[in-house]
Amino acid sequence: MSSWRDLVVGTENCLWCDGLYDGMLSWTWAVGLWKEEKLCPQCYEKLEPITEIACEECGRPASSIWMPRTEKEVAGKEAGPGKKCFDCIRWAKGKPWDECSFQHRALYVYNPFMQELLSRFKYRGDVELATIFQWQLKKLARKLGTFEIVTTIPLKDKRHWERGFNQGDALSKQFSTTPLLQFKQSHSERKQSKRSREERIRDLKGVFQLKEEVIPLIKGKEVLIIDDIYTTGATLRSAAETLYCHGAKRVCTVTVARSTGELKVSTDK
Amino acid sequence: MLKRIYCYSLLSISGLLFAFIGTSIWSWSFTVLGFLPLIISIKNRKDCLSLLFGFFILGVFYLYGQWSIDQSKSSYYGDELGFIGKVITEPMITTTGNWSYEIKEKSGEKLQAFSRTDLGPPLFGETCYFEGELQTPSPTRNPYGFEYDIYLKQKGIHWILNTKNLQCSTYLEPKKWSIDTTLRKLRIAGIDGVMDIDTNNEASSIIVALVFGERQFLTDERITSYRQLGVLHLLAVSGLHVGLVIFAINYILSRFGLTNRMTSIILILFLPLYIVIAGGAPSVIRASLMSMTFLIVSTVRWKLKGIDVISLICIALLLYDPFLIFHLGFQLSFLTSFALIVSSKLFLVKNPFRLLMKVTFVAQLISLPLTLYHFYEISLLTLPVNLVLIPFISLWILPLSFLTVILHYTIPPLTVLPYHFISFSLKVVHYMMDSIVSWNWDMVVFGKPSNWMTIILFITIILYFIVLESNKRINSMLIGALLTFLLFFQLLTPYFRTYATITVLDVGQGDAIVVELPRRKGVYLIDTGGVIRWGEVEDANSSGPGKRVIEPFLKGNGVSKIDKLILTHGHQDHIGEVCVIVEAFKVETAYYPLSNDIPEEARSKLECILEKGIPLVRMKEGDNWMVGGQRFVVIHPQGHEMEENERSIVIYARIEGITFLFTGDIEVESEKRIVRDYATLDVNILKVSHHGSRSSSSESFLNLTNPNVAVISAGRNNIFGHPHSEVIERLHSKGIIIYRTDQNGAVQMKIKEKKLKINTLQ
Repeated sequence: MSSWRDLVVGTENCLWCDGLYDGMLSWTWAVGLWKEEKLCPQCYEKLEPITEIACEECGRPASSIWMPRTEKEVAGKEAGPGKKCFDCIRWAKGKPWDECSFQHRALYVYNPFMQELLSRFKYRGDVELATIFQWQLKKLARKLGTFEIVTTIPLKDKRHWERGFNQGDALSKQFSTTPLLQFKQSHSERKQSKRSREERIRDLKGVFQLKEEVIPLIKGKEVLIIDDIYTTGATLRSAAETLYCHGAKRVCTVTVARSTGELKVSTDK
Repeated sequence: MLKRIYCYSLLSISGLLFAFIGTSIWSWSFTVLGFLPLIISIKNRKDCLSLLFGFFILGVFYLYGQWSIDQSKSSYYGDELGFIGKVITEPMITTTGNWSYEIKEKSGEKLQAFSRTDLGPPLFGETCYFEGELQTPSPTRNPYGFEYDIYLKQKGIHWILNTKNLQCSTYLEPKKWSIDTTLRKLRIAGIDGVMDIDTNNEASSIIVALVFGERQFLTDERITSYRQLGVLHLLAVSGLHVGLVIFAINYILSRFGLTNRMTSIILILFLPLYIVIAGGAPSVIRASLMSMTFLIVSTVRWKLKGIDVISLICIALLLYDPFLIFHLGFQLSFLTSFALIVSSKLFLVKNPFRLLMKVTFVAQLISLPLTLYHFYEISLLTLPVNLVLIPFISLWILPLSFLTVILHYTIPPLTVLPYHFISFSLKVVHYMMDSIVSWNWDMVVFGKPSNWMTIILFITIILYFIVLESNKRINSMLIGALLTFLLFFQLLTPYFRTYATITVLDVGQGDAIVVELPRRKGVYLIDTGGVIRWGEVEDANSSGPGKRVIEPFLKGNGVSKIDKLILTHGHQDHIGEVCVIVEAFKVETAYYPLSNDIPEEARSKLECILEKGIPLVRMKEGDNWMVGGQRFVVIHPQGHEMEENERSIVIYARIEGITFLFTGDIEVESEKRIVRDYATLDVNILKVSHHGSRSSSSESFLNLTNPNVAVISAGRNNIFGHPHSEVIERLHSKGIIIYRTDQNGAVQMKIKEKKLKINTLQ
């Protein structure tokens, strides 16, 4: 009886903290304009949306351009505001990025909250958390243009068995995805998150290959890849490279989180 | 699919509207309002199902509406004389002193029955044999008048039964005890009991209205003052009352140590009884059903949202009685509750006063278009008056009223105590309300907004709520400005009208003519009509043409100020409603003919004018004025006429190039005088003198004026036999087109640059 207001207004449980919060009831919702939220306002505030980007290519958030101290001045000169960050310049020195375009966008900064959220989602199997981002990803992808094919990064069979689901597939529920990629047989078994940048780039060079049956589909197509996080970009660039090799016209990627570097440094210690 | 149940209730309303009133703008608006959120929120294929379901609901309710119309189709021819039927509403005394109630005949057809008081009323729920004649309800005879035929049709009633004789005892069904009849008896006993405490005290009628939802004991003036100040909702048993009842019972029961669950169960069982006790109006049913649903939901720990509950209850009520969509109480109750639920985001304030302010603001704003559509005016003081009266009524008068009634049932001697508290405080508050109402400056008369305007206002207000939620200052100011603009547009439309309108209203036997000049350069009322009464004088305000015809007509047209109130002479059927008119409108100047003496019956009326501080000018031949190119010349009286009719003011007017002669009640003598004094007096439109009496409209006068059109204002079946056949004959022989208010209803003439268009209501 005490909570008449809750009864009338209708409350929702936050997907993260399970706390009650006022539902989406509002005039905005009533006319059909409301985007569904799954988190309570308090938890929602802990997410750091990327509103401004510093790099047109990898979508690095303007709020924190983390770079090795020694290279910073170079980056400042060559990148220019809103152009290309040091990272992407580095990538562009090698093949195929000297001639192929690459565009990445992410929803949120990979801050401690996001780190917790993603680990609960991925490693502890709270798949429902993916629903927070499904729509937002769709919206984000729309900003990059239209795509004929949408795909995700595959998981190693063993890892898939451990986890029970593919995080990319869970996040891309609002797209109709086509599985394109698979691992080459020789690939190492170590988790991506346990390695350094150089290791990753080296290891991932040519780690993906296209499934036989989809090879003819790719030529001249615009492809979107969906994943949970962009750290160094090694995985996504490697996947994109594979697609470019088979004649894709344009490859773009979107992820939920975008690492800015600070966090990585602090957690590495 | 079931995320937006409110869309389905909108679509069910739309379906019913398509069935009842066809493809009007209202039907389409509800279709759009219902489908739009469904369409906008489509995100995947599954959501399309909801659209499909929406179409299904629309179709089902369309068919249901058609079926209901078929069901309510009349099986009578009008010449039946005897009926056996059950009384299905509480009999009430009408202003004309008859019992009024609805009966349901054996075939299922409903009739509106009237019977004389000396027959005694039948009891509610009784089956009786009725003897009497059927009569079709008459359509409205004046613009913005009460559409009685439509009102009844929307209740599924096609005939009025004027009962001459009724027998109930022989048709009594075997006595069956039912909780329903017991409760009703208890209710009536309670009403009588409270009224018996002090019949003449307004406190009694207010208590009856608040506790039993029965307003018939309130005077029309009291209801009007509550309505004008926008607090009439307080007298309707609604959410506030039900909430208070629940709170009180819950409090008492928990004091007795009952568990929450037990209390809820008791309340769930009690609320249906409360619906009956409180009179069963749609607002009571809505509020009680919602509370019951919430109680059930909270005891079984379901999750159901308020907006879904109200939507489902709306659909359920419409299934129970589809004609409810035309019920103003139903419309207002659901509209405001829906708005309040959806606006919950705006109510996140701790301060109870600010909360009350916001709630009142939202409720008043969302009901504004509907209020204007039905009542044409609104008080600027609505918000502050609500802020004072809501706590006063709901926290003070209402609990005391309940206490009075409970004490009356249990310990009658103690009833006096709370009663006197109510009586005293109500007197103070009503005194203040009355003085506010009599100031009149706060009333803004918008006129009746068109259907389009009403819908645009609704949309703008919803937009306003949306931007208020988003907390964007600039946007909300923008929409607020748009809303203000729309309201001003509505207010100022008459000032841009380029044509003049002259309306001869049908006030029964009597005259009332409204002259509206182009661009609102002037609004003149020539005579006020009036009821001729024989024997004792009854309450003159209640049912006269002033309240019933002139006020709605003027207010519907957005008139709040009468520039010239011209009283042609001192007879009751011409000036009878003066007091009502000066009370309801600002009158710039009043005119009365120059004469040797003023008849007794006119004196009290003229006093009303002087009391209001309105200058009273005596008019005589030769007076004239000109406004915006329209010319008015008074050609009669000279001031020494002896007979009252002959003293009538006669005005010759040239409006937009068309000439009029408003003749009052002059008779042959004055006509002769005019013929003698005026060599030429060519008139296009003649208001035939003295309701078409034989003693007026002489041959020579008609020859002088030579009108194209004659308008006769006379009452239907009047006892004087006006208009006289000789006069009609005379007019016909001259090829004059005749319009008669007794046959045509109100006659409305629109004139623009010498072009004339005449409309009648029937």
